Amino acid sequence: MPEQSEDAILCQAAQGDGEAFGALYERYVGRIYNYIYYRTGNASDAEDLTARVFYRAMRHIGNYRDRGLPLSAWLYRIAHNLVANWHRDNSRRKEIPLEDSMQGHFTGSHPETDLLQWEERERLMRVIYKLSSERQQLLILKFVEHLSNAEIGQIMGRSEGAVKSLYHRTLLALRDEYENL
Amino acid sequence: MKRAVKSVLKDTSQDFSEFESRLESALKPVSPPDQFVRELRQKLLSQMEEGKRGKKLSTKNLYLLILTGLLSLVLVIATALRLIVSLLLGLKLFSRIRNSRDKKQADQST
Repeated sequence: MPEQSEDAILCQAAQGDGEAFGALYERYVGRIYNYIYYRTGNASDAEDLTARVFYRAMRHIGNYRDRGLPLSAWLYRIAHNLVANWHRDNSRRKEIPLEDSMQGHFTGSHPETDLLQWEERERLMRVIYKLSSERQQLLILKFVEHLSNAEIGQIMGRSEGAVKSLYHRTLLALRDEYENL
Repeated sequence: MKRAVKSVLKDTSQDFSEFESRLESALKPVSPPDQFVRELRQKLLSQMEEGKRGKKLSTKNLYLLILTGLLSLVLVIATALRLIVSLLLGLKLFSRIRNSRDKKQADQST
């Protein structure tokens, strides 16, 4: 369904059209997976939670009403709630397993440079995982999903200015923590 | 003073841009495994189909429930009518017996 608008597809999906829901799924599965992957730190939990997000979305898509909140924001909120529950259940933040964290970051041309980059990335990730859930969410939406402050605000239920201010404070905290590590 | 504040701000923004580029390279998007994406799509679609079938079944059940309800109502009305008719007939019989008894008593007295 490439030529149809998202609203039309959403309407069809809400009426139980499987193909329409499939089209929405394909549009967002990568973004939701990315978000959950960086929030949980491992691929298997990311797969499990991504599946749960879409099952929940499928069950409640009939109740979804466009109240100025795009579908993506609705999905991110479902993902955010599930990740929060996951963290509560696990009660401790997980470190990224080695094979997962190295995934896609080795170019293969200069092993030493790659290793240095990987070590720096590991340090940075360790600091990021020490941040509050809200700040982690902000960083992932900004750097992984490349969303604007306005879009992030819609997802987080904050104003654009509040997001900007939170971002500034997050960078300051992150830099201080990184330098003290 | 102003110049000092400006230079601090400039330094901070420069630090941030360097730090932001570090974050940019650390937080690279990853792709979900193709097999996972394909399998999840299939599972979602098949569950949606099952849900649809379930809905159809429940509509059928609803119609069946309405029909059973209507039949029960008819049965209750018919029973009530039979009761009324039986009562009326009973009353009629009772009055007939009474009349015949009164008639007998009147005949005996004459």
